[in-house]
Amino acid sequence: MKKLLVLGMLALAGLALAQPKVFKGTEVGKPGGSLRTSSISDPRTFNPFVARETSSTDIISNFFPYLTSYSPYTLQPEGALATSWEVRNNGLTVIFKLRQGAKWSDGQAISADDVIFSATVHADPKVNSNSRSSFILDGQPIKWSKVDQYTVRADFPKPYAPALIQSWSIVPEHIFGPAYRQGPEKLQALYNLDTPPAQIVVGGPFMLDQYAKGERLVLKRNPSYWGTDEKGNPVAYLDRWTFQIVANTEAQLARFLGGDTDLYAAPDGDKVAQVLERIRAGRLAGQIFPNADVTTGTNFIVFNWNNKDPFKANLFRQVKFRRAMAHLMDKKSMIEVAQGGLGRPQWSPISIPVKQFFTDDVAKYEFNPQRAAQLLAELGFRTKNKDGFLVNAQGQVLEFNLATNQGNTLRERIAQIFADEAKKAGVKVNYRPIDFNELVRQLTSPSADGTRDFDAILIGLTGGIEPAFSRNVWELNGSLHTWNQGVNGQNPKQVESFEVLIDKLMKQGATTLDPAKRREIYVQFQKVVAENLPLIYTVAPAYNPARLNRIGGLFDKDQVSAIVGQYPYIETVFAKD
Amino acid sequence: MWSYIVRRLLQLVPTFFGATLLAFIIIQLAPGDFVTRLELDPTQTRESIASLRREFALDQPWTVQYAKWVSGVLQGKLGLSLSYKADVWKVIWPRILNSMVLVVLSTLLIYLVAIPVGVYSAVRQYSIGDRVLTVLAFIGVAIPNFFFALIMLFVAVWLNDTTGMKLLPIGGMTSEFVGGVPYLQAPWWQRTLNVLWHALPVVLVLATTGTAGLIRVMRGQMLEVLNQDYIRTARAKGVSERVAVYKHALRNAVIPLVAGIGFLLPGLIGGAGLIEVVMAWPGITPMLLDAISAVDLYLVMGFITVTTILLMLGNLLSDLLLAWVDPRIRYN
Amino acid sequence: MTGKIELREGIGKSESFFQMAWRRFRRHPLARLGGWVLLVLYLGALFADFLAPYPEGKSFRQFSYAPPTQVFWRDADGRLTRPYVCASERKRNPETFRVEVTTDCSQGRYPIYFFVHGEPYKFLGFIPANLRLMGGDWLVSEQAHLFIWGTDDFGRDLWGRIWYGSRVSLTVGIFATVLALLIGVFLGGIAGLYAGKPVTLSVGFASPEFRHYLRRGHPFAAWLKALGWTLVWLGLAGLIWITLQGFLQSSLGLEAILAGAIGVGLLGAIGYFLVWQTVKLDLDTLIMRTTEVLAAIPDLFLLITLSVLIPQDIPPATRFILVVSILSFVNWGGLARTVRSQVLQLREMEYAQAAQALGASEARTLIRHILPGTFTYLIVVVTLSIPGFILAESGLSFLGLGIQEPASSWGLLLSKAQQTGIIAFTERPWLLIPGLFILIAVLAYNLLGDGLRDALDPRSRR
Repeated sequence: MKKLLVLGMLALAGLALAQPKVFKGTEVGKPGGSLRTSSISDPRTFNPFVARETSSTDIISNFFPYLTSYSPYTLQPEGALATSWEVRNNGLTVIFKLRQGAKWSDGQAISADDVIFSATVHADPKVNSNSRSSFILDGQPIKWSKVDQYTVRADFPKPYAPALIQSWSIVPEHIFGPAYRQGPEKLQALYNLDTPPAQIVVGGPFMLDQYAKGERLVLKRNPSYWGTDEKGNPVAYLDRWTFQIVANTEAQLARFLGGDTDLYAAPDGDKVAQVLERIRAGRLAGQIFPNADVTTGTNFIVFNWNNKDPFKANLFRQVKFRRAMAHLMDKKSMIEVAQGGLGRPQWSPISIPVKQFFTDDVAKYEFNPQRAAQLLAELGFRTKNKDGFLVNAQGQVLEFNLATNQGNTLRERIAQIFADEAKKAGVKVNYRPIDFNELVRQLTSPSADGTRDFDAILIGLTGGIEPAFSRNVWELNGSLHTWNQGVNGQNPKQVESFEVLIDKLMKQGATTLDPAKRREIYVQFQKVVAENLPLIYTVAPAYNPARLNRIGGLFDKDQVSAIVGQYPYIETVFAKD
Repeated sequence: MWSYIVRRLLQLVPTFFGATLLAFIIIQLAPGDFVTRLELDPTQTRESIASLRREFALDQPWTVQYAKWVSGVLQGKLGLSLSYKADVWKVIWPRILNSMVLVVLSTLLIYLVAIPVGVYSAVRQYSIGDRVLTVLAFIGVAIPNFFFALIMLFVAVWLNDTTGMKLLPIGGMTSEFVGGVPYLQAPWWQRTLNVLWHALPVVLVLATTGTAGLIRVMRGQMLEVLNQDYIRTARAKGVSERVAVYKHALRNAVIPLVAGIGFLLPGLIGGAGLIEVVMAWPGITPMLLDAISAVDLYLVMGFITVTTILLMLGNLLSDLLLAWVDPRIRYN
Repeated sequence: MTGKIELREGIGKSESFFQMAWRRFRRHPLARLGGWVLLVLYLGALFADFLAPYPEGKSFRQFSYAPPTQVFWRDADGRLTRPYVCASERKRNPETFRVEVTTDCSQGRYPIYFFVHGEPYKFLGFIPANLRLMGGDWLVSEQAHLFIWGTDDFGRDLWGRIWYGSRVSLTVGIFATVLALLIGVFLGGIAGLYAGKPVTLSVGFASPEFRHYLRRGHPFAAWLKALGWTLVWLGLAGLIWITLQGFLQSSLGLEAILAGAIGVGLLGAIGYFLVWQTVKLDLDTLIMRTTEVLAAIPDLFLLITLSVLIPQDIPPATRFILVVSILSFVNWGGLARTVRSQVLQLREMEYAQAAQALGASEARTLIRHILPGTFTYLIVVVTLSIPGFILAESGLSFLGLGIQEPASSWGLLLSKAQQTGIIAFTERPWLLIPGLFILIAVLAYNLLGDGLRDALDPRSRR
């Protein structure tokens, strides 16, 4: 009894010393219970320096804390392991104060050494961490140094706007350090899938309980986590969080319909209909919000300005041509047929859910075959040949190949719908799905003379909250400046003035710290892109979240978003039963 | 006999290297490599992509990569999986075990069904029963097994829906909770039962294809034996039909079938393929498909190595068994 | 001449082998049924354009996953009349998100005529025609639609696409079998014939053998061949050299020493072959080792990885040929082995020996005397391996690796059912029809093959 009392007092003392983070959920919940979600594939590793795919990072992000992340309510930076920060030196220096009393699950304190060590390893070219780009700014390193036990400092070569939302995992130095000093291979071998769960030391809300390969992964609450709810109760609420690994989207639906999964996002209209039907029939105690938002991923058509055929290269450079192609895009039909009636047309490069930067006030070249014909006539394509395709005075047929990656049904359908409409308008579009890796090769590998061997490609990029993270797409020498690419990382040989403007805006956007000014820059950026159409955007798939009623702490219909998801913090999600 | 075994084992060595070399070349012929996928990630720079290629030695000529791999295999290491950054053997071994569960169960089922049915079909050749069984068997062969798996899945969903109980599993190999406790904490017999329950529909699908073929073989064997002189002699001597068929004929007809089990095993490993994918069984094929599409070179090679060895040993085992039971075959 | 005929008649009392086989075959009602079913299917494939109301790629996007079009038999007064259809509209219900198709007969009734002029096509690929089984002017002008078995995701008529697809699914087996058979018979035949008779690959330049070699044939041809093997050996040496260099750059210690030793040994061996040694190879060993290597790699892996290699931007016909080639490449080994063993047996038979003794060339012996002996056996093998190929193709298409849209095959059509998921059973059962076709075709082939095997088996006494 005495012993217990002492233990209790020690715990209280610990609490008093600590600086817990208060997680403001949608409501105050109750501890205990379990959550079941599904995951499309197995994690590959639990090591944050090795992980490259979301199936791994989705799990790892519960194990290792970030310094800062963004608030699910305002999408502005918010402290995580850092309690506060101070920007000095016109934004060239940021000083972070760490949360005192925060502990790893093995009882060791989380300190500045862990942060600096993690930064060093992420930045090490021999380790090839996926977060390495967070430590280089325009080729120059971002320097991290320790000020004292609970203070770290980052020095930037130039001011960097997204400095506070770069999320890289912080790992326990006392575990990873010794391995790292023996060489990168030893470090990479840590925390693999065969590491016993008890040996995985975490500093996040959950820790590994068990993992059945190919079937499920179970997380359990980390009792030494540094978070509380508004009333000061420790979080996470959940005792147990199961990721069911279900590779097949049909099986995922079947599980949700059977009440075996708590959270679900229906990918298309057919599946929405099935969920709705079951809820309405009273056989599933849940909710679904069809078309609540659109996903952040984008799909667009890119034309190759570095075409081997000078006629095509020149044609694709004409803004009138690209506008004509945009006018041939039947986005309504794409939404109805390809996405089962859900989703929204997209006109500009910033994903629609990124509300702090997105603008709808851009030039829209809507479906209008007559206008397209007019534009093409202005480019010299006035007559049709006997097959019904447009030709110019030199007898050149308006023809190009369009490729997309085979196996992606959504893109295949969008491409087919575009090709159909183009053919009706007299543009000979030869649509072919090709292998993904081959597609990437064509897109990113120019030959020595600077030409690339494709005409047009329909592809997508995963979008995110921060436009500065897509600088590789928009800056002139970016590796994904796909429409007009230079050789060996140089600028393209021949650039249009709007490309230079985009390049300038992107560089400004990354280094401007004032949020209002940043928005202005990115609004202008969207307008320039939408008007000149270096990438012709298609349609954005809908985000149709669904949940069972037994789960609490979730957003309401008007709050869910494709960026944040169904809940503000996993810490404050709870089971009602 | 021992020298025969040794000779056969030695012959396997060049076959093994030929097979792995061929597989290696085919994988290398495909466009792109493990890193290609990352090139579309806007946060990756050219330099970090190049650095990754160096780390994985993907910038080396393929002959060097193969030589390195062979050198590893000779030292008993299957290499590191590119995406798992872990020993390939550790990554694939649990999957192989899972597939083996299916293979063993379905093989058992196939033999249990095929032998009696085959005997019946032979003894009652051209009877109505024989014809019906023949057609049924052929339907089993004719139905594309992934299609059958789909139907099975639907039946499971429909049954569970109409009864409101969990009669049949919908994909997977184990339940999260068994008898109210997490799977791993349940007693071994409950865990076994749970796996068997999950395997049931998969094994049924898997067995249909194999059974049909074996029924035909059994029927043919039995017919041949029944036509042989010693059975006639036995009958002439007044041995009852039952004894003639079940004691003398069956024993001889069944021997080659049992000996042929070695051929069946590796075939089934490949055959479980698409069914594992459709029914979400955590076996070899789903992971192999993933590895191929991600161009995880060494993971794919690991699978090829293991299945190749299994195949070769299976064939050898069959040959030995056959030679052992059939004195007409000599070791040469 | 006359003598021969008399001779035949002399033994004509007993039936010829094929007469006997035919008699036995006719006793198999199931095999006959299989034959008839196949005949119908193949006729359907041949006349696919005629059976289908629409061209193969014709899609009506607004009719994606439309159920079978309702065909009316009675007019407004309830009297029997020529079957007709009405205009229909497909909409997604904004409340339930379900697809609903409404048929409205007030706009007009469109009678279905048979043997009508429809959209033009080329029968057999070159004869211009426009005769179609069903339709009417309304069908061409798209006032109403006729999807008797519903549509797929792009609103393409499934009934028509099944017949178009049958052209792929029903011929892929035949072509693949024939190709596998050609490879198998050719290589198996060679292996059987040359077993135990090694062929000279190269002769060392400095060896006494080389002078013999030069004297044997035409000097120009001999030197050309010598140049050929020199290049091959040197190329091999170059490859080994590059590999060795790359390998040594990244290894240390014992591994490097061993690798160096092996590399140098191989290079030395090549030098030795070039200068001194005659290299002979038993073609039988080579071919049989190759089949073993192929057999040792799991089929599924070979099929998948090779299909990934097919470039996607090629015409459907080329793709079809490549798919066929892959299927046969994976499967010729077994055939070659059986042919070889048959040849080995037959080679020792007296009539083959006699032919060779009479001075027939090896190839002639193979083609004229030995292969016919394997003929009946091959018929059975062919009939029984075609369904295997049909299933393999459907599996490949199912994975999205076989035939590509907008061309069609049964496997590809069936994969739509998988994509749709469980509601394919409850709400769109027409998507499962292609599966039924695969089942029927494969079943028919198996029954036919089984009957043929019984009939053609010379040991069969009944």
